Order: sequence, then C-alpha cells, then structure tokens
Amino acid sequence: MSAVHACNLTLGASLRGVSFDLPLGSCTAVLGPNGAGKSTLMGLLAGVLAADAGSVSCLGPISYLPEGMPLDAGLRVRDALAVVRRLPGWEPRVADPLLTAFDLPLPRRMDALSQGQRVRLGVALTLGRRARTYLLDDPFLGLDPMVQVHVERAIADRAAASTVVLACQHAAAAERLCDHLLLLRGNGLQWCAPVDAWRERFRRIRIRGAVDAVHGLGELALHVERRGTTLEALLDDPACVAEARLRIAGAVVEPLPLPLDELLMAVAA
Amino acid sequence: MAEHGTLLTFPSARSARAADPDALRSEAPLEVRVSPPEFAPISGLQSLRLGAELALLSRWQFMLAMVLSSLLALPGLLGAQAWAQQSAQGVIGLLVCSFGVIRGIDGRSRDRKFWAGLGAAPASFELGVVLVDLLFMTVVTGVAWVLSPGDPIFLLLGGGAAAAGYGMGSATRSAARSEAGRAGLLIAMLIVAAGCALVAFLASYGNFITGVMMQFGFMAAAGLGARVLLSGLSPESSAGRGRQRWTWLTCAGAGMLVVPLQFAQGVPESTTTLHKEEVLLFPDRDPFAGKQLWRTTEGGGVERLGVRGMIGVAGWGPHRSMMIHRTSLPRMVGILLKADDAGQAQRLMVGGLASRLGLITANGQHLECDEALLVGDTRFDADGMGAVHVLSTGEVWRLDGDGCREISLEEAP
Amino acid sequence: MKPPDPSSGVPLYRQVARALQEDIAAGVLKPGDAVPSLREASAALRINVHTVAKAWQELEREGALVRERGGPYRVGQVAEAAEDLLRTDIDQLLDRAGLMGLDDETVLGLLVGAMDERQRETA
Repeated sequence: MSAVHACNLTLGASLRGVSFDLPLGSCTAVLGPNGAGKSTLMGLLAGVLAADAGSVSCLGPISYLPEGMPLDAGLRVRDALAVVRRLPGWEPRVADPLLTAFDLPLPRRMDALSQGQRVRLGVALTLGRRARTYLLDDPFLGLDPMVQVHVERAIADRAAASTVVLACQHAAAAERLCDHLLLLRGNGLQWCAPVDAWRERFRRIRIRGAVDAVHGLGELALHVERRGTTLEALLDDPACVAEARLRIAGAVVEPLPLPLDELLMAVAA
Repeated sequence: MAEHGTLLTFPSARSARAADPDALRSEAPLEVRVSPPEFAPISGLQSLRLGAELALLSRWQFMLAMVLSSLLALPGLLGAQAWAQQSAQGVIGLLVCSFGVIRGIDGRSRDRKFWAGLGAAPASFELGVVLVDLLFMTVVTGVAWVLSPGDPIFLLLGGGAAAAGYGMGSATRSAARSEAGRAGLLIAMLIVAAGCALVAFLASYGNFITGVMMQFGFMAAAGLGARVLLSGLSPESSAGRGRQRWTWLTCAGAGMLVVPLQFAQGVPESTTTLHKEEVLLFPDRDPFAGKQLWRTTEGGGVERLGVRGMIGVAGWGPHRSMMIHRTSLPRMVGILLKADDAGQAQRLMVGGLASRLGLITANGQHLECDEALLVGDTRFDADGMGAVHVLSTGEVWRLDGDGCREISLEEAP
Repeated sequence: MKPPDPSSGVPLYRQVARALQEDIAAGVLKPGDAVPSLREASAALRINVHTVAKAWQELEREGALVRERGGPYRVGQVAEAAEDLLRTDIDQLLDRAGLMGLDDETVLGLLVGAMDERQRETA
C-alpha cells in the first residue's frame, strides 16, 4: 500500500512530469541541487500548491513544515504555540522535549526571530502533532549541530510509526534517517529507490596493478581519478561485473567508502 | 570515460527489482504499524476561528490603535463646534479607510501554507481573517458614530471606502509582489472606479451618497469573495502565489458595475405627499432611481416631470404647481418645509448652501433660475404659473414664464 | 551507543549491530537484559527504524539476541565475548592486507612491530 503517490506531477517550470510511489511507513529523503523543485514538490504533496497537470495523493492527516517556516511577522512565539497546542493531535510526549531543547524566546515576534529559531519553532509545531504523513521541507535549515541532534531524534521517532518525506541538503543525515532516496534534477525526477538499491548500484573502488584495465569498463565507470600509481573509480555497476573484470585483468581492487553527498555530486555533474 | 548523468535516466533491472516495495519488504521484513490517528480533522468552524484568532494575535496593536482613534469623535459629544465635529469625523474616516487599504494590500506573509499544511480549511481560515478585519472597521466607525451627534456622513463614507479599499487591496495581491506595486495598482483601480462613479452618478443616478456606498459594497464584496474562494482553490493565493492573477483582477471590474446598472433604474420609491391625492416621487435614498422627478397623477398614473439633477427638495403650491430646489450635495443640506394653514404659502429653508430655485407650473412647464439663491420665503401666484421668492437679505426674485429675474418689492404681485 | 557514520563504507546496520555487541562485550548489557526497543534505538541513534530492525535481526540470527514471541529482544546466553569481536576485526584486517597484496608474514611482522612500539612507549 502506498502512502504517497504522485503521477506525472507538473507545475509550471518548477516541476515536470514527476511520478513515484512511496510505501506506507517509509522515510524518504528528497535530494537535489537548489532550484531542482524540492520545495515545489513538497508544497504539491502537502496540497498547498495546485498542480498544472498530474495527480498527487498523500495519506492524511498530514503535518507539513514549509521551507523557512513563514509565519505572520507580528505573531509571537507564545501565541503560535498556544494556538497549535489547542488543535487536535498535539502530543506533549514528542513536543515537550523538543521545546525544552530548543529554548525558544516565547515573548518575541516572528520578525525578531533568526532563521534557525523560526525553523526550530516550525519543527516543534510540526513534529509535535500526531499525523500519518510528515512532510518536512528542510528541517535543518540554519540549525547548529547540537540542535540538529534533537531534530533528528524527533524525526526518527516519528518515522517509526508514520510515513516521512524529508527534503534537505544534509546528505549524511538523510542517509541515516531515511530508507528511500528521491533525487530531483533539472526539475524532473532522476531516480527514486530504496537506499540499499543506491548502495548496491554505486560503489567507489581503488585499483592497483593493472590499472589500464579500467579503460575496458566503458560506461560502468562514472568517474576515474589517478592517485599516484593507483586509480580511484566511481562505478555505476548494478550487476557487479566491473570488479570481476578488473580482477581477471590482474588488477587489485579495494572498496572505498562513498559518502552520499559525494555520490550525489558525481551523479549531478 | 563514461558519459555521466545519462546513465541514470532509467534504473537497471537490478535496481528496479530493489526499488520494488515487495522486494524491500523481503529484505527488511519489519512491519511498521501506521495506524490512523484517532483524532478528528480540523473542522471548517475551527479553521475560521483559527484564522480570526491569528489575525487578532498578530495585529492586535495595530487594531487597538485604530479603535482608540475612534475616540477622536469624543469632543463632538462634549459640545464642540460643528466644524470641529466634522473634522474629527473626517480624520476618523480617513484613518479607517487607510486601515482597510493597509490590511488589504498587506499580503506578503506566506503563513497560509503552514496552517493549510496543518489541516486547516484554507477558505474558512481566510474568511476568519477577513471577518476580523471587517469587524474592526465596523467597530471603529460604529464607536465614532455613537460619539458623533451630527450627520455622520464622513464616517459613512470612510467606513464604506475602508471596506472597498480592503476588497480591492485584496484583489491586487496576486498581481504585484511588493506593497508599493499593489498600492499603485490599487490607486489605478480606484481612479477607474471613481471615474465610473462620476459618469454614472452625475449623469443619471438620483442619489450620490447612497450610490457611492452601493459601489463600495460591490467592490468590497467582489474583492473579498474572490479572496476567500481562491484561497479554497490554492491556500497560497492570498500571498500572491499561484496563477489566478487575472481572476483576482477581474473583481476590480466591480467598481465599474455602476455604469451598466443605470440601465436598470426605474421609478423611485421614496415618496412625499403633496396634496391629499398626489404623491411626489423623488430619488432620495434609492440608488437605482434616476434623477428625474415623478409625481402621481389624479388618475392614479405616474407622470415624469422634466427636471434632472441633484434634487434636494420640493415644495408645493396650488394648481399642481411646485417648487424644486437643486443643490450639489443634497444630503449636506438641512431643509425644512412648512405650509401655512391655507396651504397657500410655503417657507423653504435651505441650510447653509445656496440652491437653484425651480418651478413647475400648473401646466407642467419647468422653469429654473440660473443663479443659486439663498433661503427665503416663496409665494405662489394664484394661478400657479409663477412665484415670488423673498430672500432674508431683502432681495426679491420673480420666476415665471418670462424667466427668472430680480425685481423690486413694489413690482411683486 | 554513538550514531553510525554512513560515509564510512560499512553498512549502517552492521555498525549498529557492532555497537550493541561492544556494549555486551563491555558488560553494559548482561545476558537476559532487554535491549532498547526499535523505536528507542532509532530515536537515540538518529537512524531509520528499519536499519535498527535489520541489525537486531542479524544479531538474533547469530544468537547474540533472543526474543520470545511478541516480547522484547534480550541479550542471549551465547553473546559474543570481547575476543570474538576482535577476531572479526582481525579477519577484516587480513582481507584488506590480501587486497593490497601483502603476505601473512609481512602482516605478522607489522603486528609485532606495532606491539614493540607500544611497549617502548609505556616503558
């Protein structure tokens, strides 16, 4: 059963023909360069933007954190909290630890808050409510690492019993928290798959010895870099044939760690 | 080296297998229990309350200042001069009008997407915001009205203009991103509306003030209706997002509606009893009525008198003749009619402003003075074909088939 | 337990499983103790709940964790001791040496050299 479903979703020039399905209970990271349409996609999923074409459905009730958490400039933190607390679905179990950790200035108005403080308030208001689908548009925007820890904990807690879609720039956190990756590029969908599928498909290796064998790999090697007498190669090798071929040619192959942000950069290049 | 990027446009067979949710389940056979939350969704009424509450919470200082400004009318209650009362009303009218305009064009905040994302119904939310703003405009005008003993014409106009400015200001929201752009657009829209009002009301409508109030009503209803309805379609529309630009602007046409509406005008319903059998119909309060004067005939029909213009009042004489007064601002003039016991002599008091004296003779002919004359006593000829008007200054004017002219007292019949 | 590092090259679930084994080896958790629930561990480590589930299932297969029907995971009686953990590390070290083309004697020489170095430092 799918919790989030998009079919041929199109909105102006910001998003073109995007289709995907996210299973119930999954946690998906929406990644992509700035301007790739991440926020547009999140707005469409949340139903606050209307699509030109295509259809979208999202299992409700949802809880949506818009990018940068825009609230009315004259609203005070205390009042915003009081209003949301009274709405159905508020859960102090999750919200209170977050609010304690965030230490928000209650009497301040929205226009007197920093970007990070606004996002913190947004995270507390969004994750503090019980929902079936959480749509979080950059919950780490402007947060320092100490605060980010609390936000990640709350997201992991919600992901254990709900569907989460998380748009962010923080690849390491995305990889830890999420089990699906959705990559947007050039306002279209490039790939949407479980994290494990990404890891199986893309690997980075160090090659010693018969380094010339790398020329025989053709399109399996996305990127090759010479380091002294060795070569480092980024493989797009879903069938695991490249390493076998290199070994047959007499090369020594050693796996290397591949952080997600490096992979994304290589893929987007 | 491989061509990057193009490789990833479609997943490999193995990736596709891995992307299959069932395949994922077999690798990680964990059942995540996602049970539907057991609370009710936010209802329309709750959304409305939420919008109203947030509008109050985020603008309470501004609104408080507005309400306090209505106390400017207090000196009027304490017996200040008439000019002081009128100026205070004018200031309050201007303030409430700017309140409406500011709240109308102030649509930069993109908070609607948060509240809609939380489950609030966007149209109800927007309606809540609009109702609070309208309530405050009403409160300011109402308090000032209660405190003003005189004619609250400036308050009425200010309140109406506030609602219209609020509606039309809302209508500019998607057409310009900055407040300055919206203000410019709003000014353009108001100029067009004012032009239409001048054309329509000076040319054909009977009552300028009620007509303008009606026009204000159209503008407010169109702008705010569009705002609430479009919010239902796309919650971000009141922050100028979304592509309903022309839908928003078409409601600006409401200001021009007064022009075609004149074709719907008919016989006015406001009446003044003349003689026992006759009734004069004059367009005092009915904005749809034309400027013509009408009177009922003895046979029960309706007869149109050949008079157009800003008709303030009519007096009456014998033989179905009558006096009429035309002023530029009918509601600004306090007029008193009196008849003596015989019903032959009338005293017309036209407060403050001069008016044009006119006579409708017994045979239905319309005569009018070119000069504006001040208050005085008017005495009809016995045959109903002429009248003498004696001003308080001692001047005597004669109006009959030969025209309107000043005469000496001795010449008077 | 510290959160796992996705960029290290070791699968996240292996890192989590390993971290729990370390706790068992250090005596933080004793046989029969309940380990954190999936949800607790997921929030504490800031990782996906599926990753924790996979780690716990892996440990259950190896016998380090046991679970009665519907109950919580508990530390098993045959949980790996510190030596077993080290054996896994040595296995990995030997694999790596093999990839680099080093023979067993060289590896042994390096180990003995490193131990001597430490003894000199402590002395």
